[in-house]
Amino acid sequence: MTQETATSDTDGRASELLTDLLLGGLQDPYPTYAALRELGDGVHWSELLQGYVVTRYEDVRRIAGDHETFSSDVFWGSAPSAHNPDDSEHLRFIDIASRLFMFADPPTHTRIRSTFRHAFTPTVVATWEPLVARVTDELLARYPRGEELDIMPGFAADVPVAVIAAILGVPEEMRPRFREWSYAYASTFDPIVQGEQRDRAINTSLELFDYLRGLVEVRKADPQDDLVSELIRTETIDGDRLGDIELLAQLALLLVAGNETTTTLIGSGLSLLFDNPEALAAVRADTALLPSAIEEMLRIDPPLHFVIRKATKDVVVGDHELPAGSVLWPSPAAANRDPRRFSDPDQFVVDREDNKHLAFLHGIHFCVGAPLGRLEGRVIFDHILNAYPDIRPGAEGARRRTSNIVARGWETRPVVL
Amino acid sequence: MTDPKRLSVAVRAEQCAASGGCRSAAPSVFGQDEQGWVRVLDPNPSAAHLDAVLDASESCPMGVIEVYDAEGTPLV
Repeated sequence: MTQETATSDTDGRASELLTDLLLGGLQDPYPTYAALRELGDGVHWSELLQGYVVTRYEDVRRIAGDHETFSSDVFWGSAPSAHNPDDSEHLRFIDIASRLFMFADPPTHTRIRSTFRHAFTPTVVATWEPLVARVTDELLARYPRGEELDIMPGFAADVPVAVIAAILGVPEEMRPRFREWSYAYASTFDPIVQGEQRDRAINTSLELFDYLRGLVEVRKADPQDDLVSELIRTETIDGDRLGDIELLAQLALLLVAGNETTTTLIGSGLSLLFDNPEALAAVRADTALLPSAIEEMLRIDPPLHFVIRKATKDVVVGDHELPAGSVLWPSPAAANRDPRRFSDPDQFVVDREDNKHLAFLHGIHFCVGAPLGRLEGRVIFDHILNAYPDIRPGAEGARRRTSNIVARGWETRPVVL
Repeated sequence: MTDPKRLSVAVRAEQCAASGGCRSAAPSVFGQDEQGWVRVLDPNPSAAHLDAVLDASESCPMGVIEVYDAEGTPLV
C-alpha cells in the first residue's frame, strides 16, 4: 500500500469514528476514544467540529500546558456564545457570559485568576468540610434505606448546588430558585439549546446574574467571612480590583463549572463502584482509600470530555502540521485512558499510584475549584456508603446523556439505597 | 561558589494560589507551608531536575515560577 492510500484509509476510518462519537448517541464513548487514539497519530480532523480532535495524553497535556501556542480565547463561536444580537436581554447576558476567565489568555486570565488566590487554598477548603458534610446529610435524610430511585435528578443534582449556595452565603429560602437558575445557566453551554429554549435559558440566567449582583453589593457594604467577600477583597496581580461585571461573571462560572461536573462525578463514581465490587468493598473497609478512589473516578470517566483551543501560530501536533488559527479539541477523556501513560488504562484501580490524570486539566487553566471538587467527592461518597450499607444498582440500567459531547453526564442512575 | 551545572528557581510567592501543582511536578524542589502556600525547598536544584522544574513552572496556574540556567538565562 502506498503511503497516500494509508493516509486516506486512516482519514476515512477516523471520519466514521468521529461521526459515531459526535452523532451516534453512544452510551459508552470510550471504545471510540480508544480507536481514535490508536489510529494514525491520534490527531484527527473533524468536519462537524471544524477542528482537530486530539486524543493522546502527551499531546493533550502539552496543549494544555502551552497557553502561548494554544489560546483559550474561544468563547466567540463556541456553543455558549449563541445569542440574538437584536435582543437587548441577550446582549446584556452575553456581555457578562463572555467574560469567564476559562475563555481568557494572559494577561487577562492572570489578572482574574489572581483574585482567586485566597479562595481555594487548602486551609480555606478544610474549613468547608463541616458545611459539605451537613448539606450532604440533610439531603440524604430525604431518602430512606431500601428505597429504589434515580439518584441523578434528586440527590446528585441537588448536593453541589446546595454546597456552592452555602459557600456563597445564599439564604436557605432562596435555594430552590438558585438551583433553577444554575441549571438554566448551565444549559446555555449546551449546543442543542436553541430558539425559544435559549430565550428562556438566557432570561432565567439573567435572574441569576441580577441576584449575584445584589449579593456582591451586600457583601461590599458589609464584608463577611465568605467566598464572595474574599473575591471582592483580593486585589488583582497588578494591585487593582475586578470590575463588577467581571466579578459577576466569575461567580457565575463557579456555578456552571462546579455543579454539573460534581453531579456527573456522583453518577460515574457510583456506576464504577457498582461495576467493581472489590473496589467498593475496599473503600467500605478503609475510607482512607477514598481520595485515591475519587482520583481514579476522575481519571477513568472525567465529567468534561473535551476542551477547545486555537493555535496562535503554525504548530505540529502528532504528525499534523497545523496552520495558525486551527481549532483543536483536546480530549481529557481520551487522554486519561492512554496506555502510553497509564497501565491497564481501562481498569478501575482504586489505589492507583502516580495518577496524573487530566480531568482538571493542566497548566494555567487547571480547575480553580479542584480542591472543592475533591472535598465534595470524598465527603459525598463517604456519607453515601455510611448511610446505605447495602446500596446497589436499581433494576433499570443507568443511561448516559448523549446530546452534549463536551460534558457527557448521566440522564439516569437508578439505585436501591 | 555555585555549581555551574545547577539551575536556579525563583517564585513570586506573594502571587501563589496554593494550587499545589508545583509540588506534584517537582516534590524535591517545591513544598508548602502549613497553609498550603509554596515554599522553595531547593532553590538551586541540579540539572537532572530540569524537566521536573519546567513541568512545575508549566503547572502553575499563576505562572509565577521562574527557572534560570547556571548563567542566569531564563528558561521559561
